[in-house]
Amino acid sequence: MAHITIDPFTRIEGHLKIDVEVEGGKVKDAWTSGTLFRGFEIILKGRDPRDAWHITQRICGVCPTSHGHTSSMSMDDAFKIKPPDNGRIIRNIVEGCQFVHSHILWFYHLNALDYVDVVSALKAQPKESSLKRVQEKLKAFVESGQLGPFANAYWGHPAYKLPPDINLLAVAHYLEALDMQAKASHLSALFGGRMPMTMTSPPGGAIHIPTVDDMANYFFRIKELQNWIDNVYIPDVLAVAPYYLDYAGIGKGHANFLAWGVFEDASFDPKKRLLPRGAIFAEDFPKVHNAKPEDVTEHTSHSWYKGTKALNPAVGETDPEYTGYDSNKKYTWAKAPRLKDKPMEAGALSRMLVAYASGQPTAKKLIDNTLSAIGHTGKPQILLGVIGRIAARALECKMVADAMYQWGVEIVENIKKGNTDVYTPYEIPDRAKGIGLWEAPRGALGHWIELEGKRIKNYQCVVPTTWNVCPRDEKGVRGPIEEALVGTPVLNPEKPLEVLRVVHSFDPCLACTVHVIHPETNRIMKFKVS
Amino acid sequence: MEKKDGVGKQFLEALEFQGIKRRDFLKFCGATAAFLGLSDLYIPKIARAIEKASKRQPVVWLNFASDSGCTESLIKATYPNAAEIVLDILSVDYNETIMAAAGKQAEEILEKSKKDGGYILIIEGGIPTKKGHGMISGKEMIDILKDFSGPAVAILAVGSCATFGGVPSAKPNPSEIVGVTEALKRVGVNKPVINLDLCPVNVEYLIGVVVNYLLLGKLPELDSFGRPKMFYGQCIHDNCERRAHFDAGRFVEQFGSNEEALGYCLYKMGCKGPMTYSACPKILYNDRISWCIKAGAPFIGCAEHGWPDKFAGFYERLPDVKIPGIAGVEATADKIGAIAGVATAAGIAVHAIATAASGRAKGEKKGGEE
Amino acid sequence: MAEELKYEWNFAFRLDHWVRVSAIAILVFTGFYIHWPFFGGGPDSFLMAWMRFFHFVSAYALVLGLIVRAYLAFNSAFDRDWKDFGIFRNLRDLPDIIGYYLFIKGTHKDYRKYNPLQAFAYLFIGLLIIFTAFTGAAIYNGKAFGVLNTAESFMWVNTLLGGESYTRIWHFLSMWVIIIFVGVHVYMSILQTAVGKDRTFTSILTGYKLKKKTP
Repeated sequence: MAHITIDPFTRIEGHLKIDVEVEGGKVKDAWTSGTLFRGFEIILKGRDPRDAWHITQRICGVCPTSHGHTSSMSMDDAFKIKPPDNGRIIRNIVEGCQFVHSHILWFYHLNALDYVDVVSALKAQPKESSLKRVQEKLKAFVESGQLGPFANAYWGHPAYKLPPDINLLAVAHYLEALDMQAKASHLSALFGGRMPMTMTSPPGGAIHIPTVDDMANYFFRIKELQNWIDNVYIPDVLAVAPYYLDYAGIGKGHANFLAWGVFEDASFDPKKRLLPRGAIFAEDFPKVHNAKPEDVTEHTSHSWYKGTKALNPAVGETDPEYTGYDSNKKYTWAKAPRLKDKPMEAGALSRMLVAYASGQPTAKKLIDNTLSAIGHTGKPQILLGVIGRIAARALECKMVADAMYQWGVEIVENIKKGNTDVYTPYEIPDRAKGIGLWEAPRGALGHWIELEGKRIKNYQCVVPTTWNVCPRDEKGVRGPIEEALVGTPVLNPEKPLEVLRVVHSFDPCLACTVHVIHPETNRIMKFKVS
Repeated sequence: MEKKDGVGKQFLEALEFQGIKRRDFLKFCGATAAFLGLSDLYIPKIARAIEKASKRQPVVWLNFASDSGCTESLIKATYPNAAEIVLDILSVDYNETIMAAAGKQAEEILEKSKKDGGYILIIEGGIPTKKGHGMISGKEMIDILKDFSGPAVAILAVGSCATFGGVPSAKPNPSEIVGVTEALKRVGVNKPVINLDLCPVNVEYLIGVVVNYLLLGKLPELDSFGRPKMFYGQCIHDNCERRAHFDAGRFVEQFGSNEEALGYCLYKMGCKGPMTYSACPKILYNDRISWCIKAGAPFIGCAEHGWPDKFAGFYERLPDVKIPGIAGVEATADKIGAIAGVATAAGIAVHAIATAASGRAKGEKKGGEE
Repeated sequence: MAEELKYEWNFAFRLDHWVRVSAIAILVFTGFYIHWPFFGGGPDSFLMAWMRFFHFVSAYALVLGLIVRAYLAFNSAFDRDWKDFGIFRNLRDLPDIIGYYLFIKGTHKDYRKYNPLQAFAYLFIGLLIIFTAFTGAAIYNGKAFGVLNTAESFMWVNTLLGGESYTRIWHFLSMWVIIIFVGVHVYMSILQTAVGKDRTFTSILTGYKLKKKTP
């Protein structure tokens, strides 16, 4: 039996450590652990509530917009206000830019190198001159001996299955996608001032009504992104998928899915959001259940905290106690959130499945078409796994980009009608409570706040990667990534490429996850390596 | 044409071979010259300097207590774009967010870089000084920083966290996070640090400093906070596109208002531009599309030492001040002034009444009244 | 009791005093406006620019007024009063005058021009004006007196106080101290006029005070 530790785990946001035990070429057990603490909830106490949405954006530089919006929404809830229609749409657009940016970045730059053998691309025999040039460039790059970010990877690993030509195409698109993800971000700067760290979605709505010039610029840019997603991103996924169909069944995990929902509808009903709210449990897949914030509990039996009582975030306690790394007892700073005592997976797959099962027409059409394209018509079960997560992100990316165009049209219509309201003024109440439930590109995100004396008294965030990367609960039920890893084949424990694939499929973002931790420890964790 | 531009033909061919269009390349050189405050005459010189550097400059990028926002900022570069920075200009040997290798293999790269030396060390994120609060591969971040600062040819701290601690170091600073300069001082390393303060860093500043180094072989001139003067020499307020409205006394009083649509000054919304030094109004963000104030948002002061605490609340004119000695009481300068003013008025009134009561004003002799 | 008019302030002292008074008045008003523009400018106005202009001009006037006052203290043809600010002598007599103002004592000693409390207050306010000028220069981005590049020459003030936003707060708070000083100062002169019947209040306009005739 081999014990593998992957630390640092790269091509994710933040500092993650993965431990797996391999027996008979398969993962037998797995543990996930985060290693950095910054303590945002403690920092937020006593501050002006209007500042919180700026501070919480710094929880995560990859999905700052989502944190900012969730924070503003929790304040909206506490102040008992709703943003005007334009404010709602501008928030959707800025959030949409981040989804598109994040999914492109994830697919090509964080995830693709697990499937694309860059060195093998040198063996391709391209006919197109543009591909030839990429290949020549790559060759010159490899011959320079300075491989930069491509150095020392698992190139040549037998689990890389793409033929050289597709590898080369993927490398070409890797470079092209670098531009496209940047363009998606530039687009959000058009409304948000800059990205990362957007500036224009404070509690109350948005700051600025776009000018005609802004809108023209916007339509031009979003069209370019839509075209690229339709003509490059989606075809790439379809080109790569057939070679890795065995990964459809790998990394299935608990198959419980949670989505708080994202992209607000004019009715402000979370079930009518573009990607609606809901939860799906494995036992009656794919029936959609109500997802209520009251049902969330956080367990600490395997995390370095005192007490074992599972509490709701609204009354959450954080009383740290470091007891050393012991995979049988406590081994991580992350708490274990559960919905109705079930570990839940969060992310694009959760959102798309909930949308599909709730009958959201666009999502239903996209998924049905995809299922019939791969010969599994009417069987969404096939999506439970690594390939499903990859496909869900691609489809969601297309869905969001298309919706963004429509939102632009809606703003123009509003302006035509003379409706240029973007902001609802408010008085900060002396005492209030609020909840913001939203989605980051990586999954369900919730902020729970409490105000006293017009200041923040308590601030709790339950973030996507905490749902995914969490440890076991008191019953010993594994967290979603841990469970998904079990059964993953590992050909070479020295080069655990397959483990990377499963973990990357969740798009973990660790800065978010361990922002809650407040360890009081003087000891350094000791790791076993192999 | 080649003669006129002063760029060797062979080099241009090499560039085209690498898929860089010459026009883009000169555009990049032009942007660089603008950073350095040089006239266009220097463009060919810059091109030649990069031409000479046959080996790409190695870079080791370490993430400490960060949120990867600065890495995100890096990959949003346009001229040159991320691919050119990472593959053509620099050799980014270690960056956890983008590198292909993981775990043991990633550590091997890091060890090799340390042995070879000669890299530019770029630090993203502050350094937790409380034990156990930030570790990579079981090592404390501050020790990693110490190990890697030695062989580096230059140390760049990018973003607010790496420079002075940033948001995670805001009070009560639960992980006792400090900036790179302070951390190096604590472990006894005496090396200059270039601080590129901003949250997140503007990638054009970063490229400007690196190109400055490649070009001149030395670090740029720094101000007293260790920030390059070429980017942090001028007050945002003085270069602001809304400055005319400030001078005219035209102010936004509420978001989404007509004044906002007209682009009036955001001073009364708490804009911290008048106390922040950075080239934001000139260089902007994201392919120079926009920046905070252009988008209608008051600037929050993220380019300055002591951000965010010295600049919060972001929507107030002056930051909150903690009155020393009175635990838990926070007041803004206005309140302090008002309280002091009322106290004085009260004091005067009391004294005036007392004087009248004592009969001094009537000119009576008061000997023996003590 | 015989009284006589005494020429207490010559024209130079009086002019200098009123220059500083008007400078402080303008500085406080424009300062408040700069701190929080409480009325708006019209489409073609340069209201804030003018406010700032008068703020800076008055700042020069105040600083120069203070320098002139210091010069007069040492080199006035009329009354070189620097000795009245002597710290040790005034410290010795401080309990006497404080006791008087707190009604612990009924009378106080006779002082030549300033009583110890006055001398200390004026000395303090002089130093405070210098502090305010330095913090002001540190947050002013221009050329002081047309030669000193304030952003560079006064950077150390920002470094010392912990950054420009803190310098701003110190500048603002020191203004409040000056306002309080002005209030107390005016009250004290009225008080003295009422109690001493010596025309203190008008002396700074006319130059003359009533004094008991010394035999």
